Amino acid sequence: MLLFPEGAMRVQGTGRKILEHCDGQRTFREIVDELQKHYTASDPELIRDDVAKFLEGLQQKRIVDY
Amino acid sequence: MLPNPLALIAEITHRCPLHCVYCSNPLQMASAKSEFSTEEWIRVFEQAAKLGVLHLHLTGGEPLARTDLTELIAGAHAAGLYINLITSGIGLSEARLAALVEAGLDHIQLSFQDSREDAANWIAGARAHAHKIELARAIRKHRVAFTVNLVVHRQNLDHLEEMISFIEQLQPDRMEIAHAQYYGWALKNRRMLIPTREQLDRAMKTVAEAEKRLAGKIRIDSVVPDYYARYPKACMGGWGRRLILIEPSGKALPCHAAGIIPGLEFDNVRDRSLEWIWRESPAFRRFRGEEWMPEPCRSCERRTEDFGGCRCQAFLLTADANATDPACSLAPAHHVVESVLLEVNSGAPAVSQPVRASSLHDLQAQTADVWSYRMSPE
Repeated sequence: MLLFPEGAMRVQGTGRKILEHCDGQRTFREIVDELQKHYTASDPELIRDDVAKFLEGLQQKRIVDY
Repeated sequence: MLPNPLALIAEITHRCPLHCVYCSNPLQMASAKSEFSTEEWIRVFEQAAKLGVLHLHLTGGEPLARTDLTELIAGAHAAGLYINLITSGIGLSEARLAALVEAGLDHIQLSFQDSREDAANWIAGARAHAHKIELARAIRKHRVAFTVNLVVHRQNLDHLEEMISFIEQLQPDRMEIAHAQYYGWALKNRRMLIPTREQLDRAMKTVAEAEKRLAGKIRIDSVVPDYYARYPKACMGGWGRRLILIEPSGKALPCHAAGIIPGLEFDNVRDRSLEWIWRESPAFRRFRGEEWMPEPCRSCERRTEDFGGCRCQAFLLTADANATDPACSLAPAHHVVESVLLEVNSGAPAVSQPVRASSLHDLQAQTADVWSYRMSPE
């Protein structure tokens, strides 16, 4: 469960994996690299785009900062 | 099946150093003597977390008036709650702020009354504005989510753009632009607070433009005044559906204003478990679901969205808590709201100049025919 001011969001599966890598230390590239290692069957470009889209969506809501 | 409550609103004290004319606290407030102890509050937070509550909103009055606030936050944090402090900032030094964050505070919601100092202090009935600005700067040095809340009404809406720019400079993550809601002191002062339709239309445009401009930088949440809406607000997400409010002395209510509805007995968490109150208490069951609904709500397709609106507003405006919220354009008593709007939109409704005074007493004397300032309980 992701909690933020006045709201909460249940995060599962890949979204959860992405957020678990967001520790305030890793760069976007590092996060993508690690996920690419984890999801070897998927197109690396696709993973990169999906992670970017997911994080941008949360950034617009000011839930994730970078 | 009955869902779990998602949030607990803890009014930990009704004491407040501010006297805002739009305060939604009840006119009858709990005294300092009757307030729950530290241990009693922490027990409630633990019960809430077990019941599935995720968010704790610490509010009041001014929560900083409690000297044990750090302990309360530490207790709630240990129980696993996400903690939001709703505050005027009065009583918060940099050292105390650091202690609250250290104890587990997740989010601060700091209120501002205006961008202009004289106007802000006039609305608040206290010299608070300059301190709030200093505090906003201090908050940004900590790892804590930060929202600035601005209550808008007829007296400040004409310079909304300026107020938004002012808030932008404080660099919050989020800003809340909330039209005053007419309960408690705000209802008493409604005559001077309710905006004109022209002001409202302009304000909605201004907010929409700001949302676009600040996208990705500052999230804007705005609350529209329900008197001007076509349908009523889903007050508290429905009676006894998502939220529990606890008053300073431990009485549990489904919303801030429910205490005014006659015939409802509110249980105290001193006598009953929070779970029992949520599931079984007559007060929480009174307007839950659709059984209580009159027409046109009962057969309305919006009944699962707005739950018939606000029970307290229905009572305040029609003397019947079972009535459809008069803010709804379909309500039999909608004419009550329409006549209020007619009055404010015909002729030239008063916009006053801020009054400067040396004391609250002096301010009250100078504004006696304009409005009443919120008083703090003994």
